[in-house]
Amino acid sequence: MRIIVFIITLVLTNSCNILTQKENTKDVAFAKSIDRGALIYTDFCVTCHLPNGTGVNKVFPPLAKSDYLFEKREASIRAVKYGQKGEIIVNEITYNNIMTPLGLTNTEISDVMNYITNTWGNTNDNDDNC
Amino acid sequence: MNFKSILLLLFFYAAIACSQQKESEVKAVSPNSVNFTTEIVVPELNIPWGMVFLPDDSMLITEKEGKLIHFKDGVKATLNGLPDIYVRGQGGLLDVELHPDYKNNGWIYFSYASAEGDGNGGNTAIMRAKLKDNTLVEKEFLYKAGPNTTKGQHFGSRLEFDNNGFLYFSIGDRGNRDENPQNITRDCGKIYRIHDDGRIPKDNPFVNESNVKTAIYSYGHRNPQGMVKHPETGEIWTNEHGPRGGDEINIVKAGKNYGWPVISYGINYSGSTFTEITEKEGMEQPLFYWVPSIAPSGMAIVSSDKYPDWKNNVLVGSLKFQYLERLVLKNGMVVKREKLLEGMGRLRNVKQGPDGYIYVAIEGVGIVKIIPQK
Repeated sequence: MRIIVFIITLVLTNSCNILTQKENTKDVAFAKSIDRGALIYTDFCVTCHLPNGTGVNKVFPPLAKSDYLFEKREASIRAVKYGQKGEIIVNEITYNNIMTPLGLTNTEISDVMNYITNTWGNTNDNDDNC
Repeated sequence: MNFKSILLLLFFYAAIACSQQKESEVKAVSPNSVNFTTEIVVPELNIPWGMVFLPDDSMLITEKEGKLIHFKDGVKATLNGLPDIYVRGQGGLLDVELHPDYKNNGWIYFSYASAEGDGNGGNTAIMRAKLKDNTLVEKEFLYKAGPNTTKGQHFGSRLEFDNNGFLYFSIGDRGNRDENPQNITRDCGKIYRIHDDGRIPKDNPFVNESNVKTAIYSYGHRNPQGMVKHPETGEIWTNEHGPRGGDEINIVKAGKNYGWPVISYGINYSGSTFTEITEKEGMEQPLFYWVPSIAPSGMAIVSSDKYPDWKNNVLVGSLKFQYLERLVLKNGMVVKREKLLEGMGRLRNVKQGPDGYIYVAIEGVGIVKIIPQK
């Protein structure tokens, strides 16, 4: 009996270890994705959306604390991939400008999405890569 | 006040002094009265980066996403035969210009981002071609900057001919300010000058140096996206984007160094500084600098009689503040800045047409003509 308990404990402990390890790898990959996203942001986004993600009132919508970014995630990703044209309402302010397609790869898009949804007080545990 | 608080105060002042930028002395103001109207002559364009007027009053318009449009008798035709265009970040199909003798030879020049050549990514290229039945034919590849890079910024790309038939074009620093602009063995961060067929002129400033890019005419530029031949002096005038503050107007001169990023009136987007100095021996001062930045794009100098009050004024589009800036100069100095067409949209380009009217290209709107009131 003792041996069985011992074996069960052993198995459980190990599987826990395996799980934690998996978690860790995921965390590391996620952190790396955010780092790559930061570089993409500096290259492609910062001129309009600014370093603190506030954008320019009525001209370029904010990304920091943006209701649009969090409630319309798919439309946001679509905008990064295919560009954005026409009226959108962000934090109760109407924006009507053009963002052309940026030419980013899908990995680059998920990296920059991970960055903007986890910076300036934004949080999103959901790795867009996974 | 004790010693500690004095020290603290001193430190505070020093910090402010370091981070403070010198604002443009002449501020842009809204006009007291407006004596013109506007008319949309080409509707529904996204990012009309370049435009040019053909002798039959039709127009060629580039859309950044990679479309060349021929607008004739109210109809837009999308032309075929463009080369592969690298659409990424600020890159795409960019400027378009005609040969000064277009009527006889039919050459159309355009700039674009291209993935041609070694390495991942792209860089600015210049091509000329002729138009036949809505298709570009006889394409000739004139210049391609290297190396390719996946960076999204600063393709430059304005084209302009001078009175001697030389073609000038700008290529921005491609997001590599520490390696490109000050090094004439490398492309990018430069104004170039070539013959109409792509040959390098024998009297270009660096032709006798080894290993240099001999098409270079001037260097130390960040991202020039406005270029025009002065209608009276024939000089090539440019404007360029600074980072945060430090946009500039320059008159381009052979072999001169315009200082980027060693001298600049700008700071990093983040607010940190990259240089403490705004002038240095051997480096040119701008004719004018903008702090804060307006994000200048396109440039025209009014020479027609349609706008008597604007004669010789410089017109520059503002992408950031979405207006057309009119700069009045006196003895080579900017003495007045006025905001025109406020609130119409991001102003990408401005040109004086062969009919003497001013045309502006506004993102999401189209090509707009400025009509003076009698």
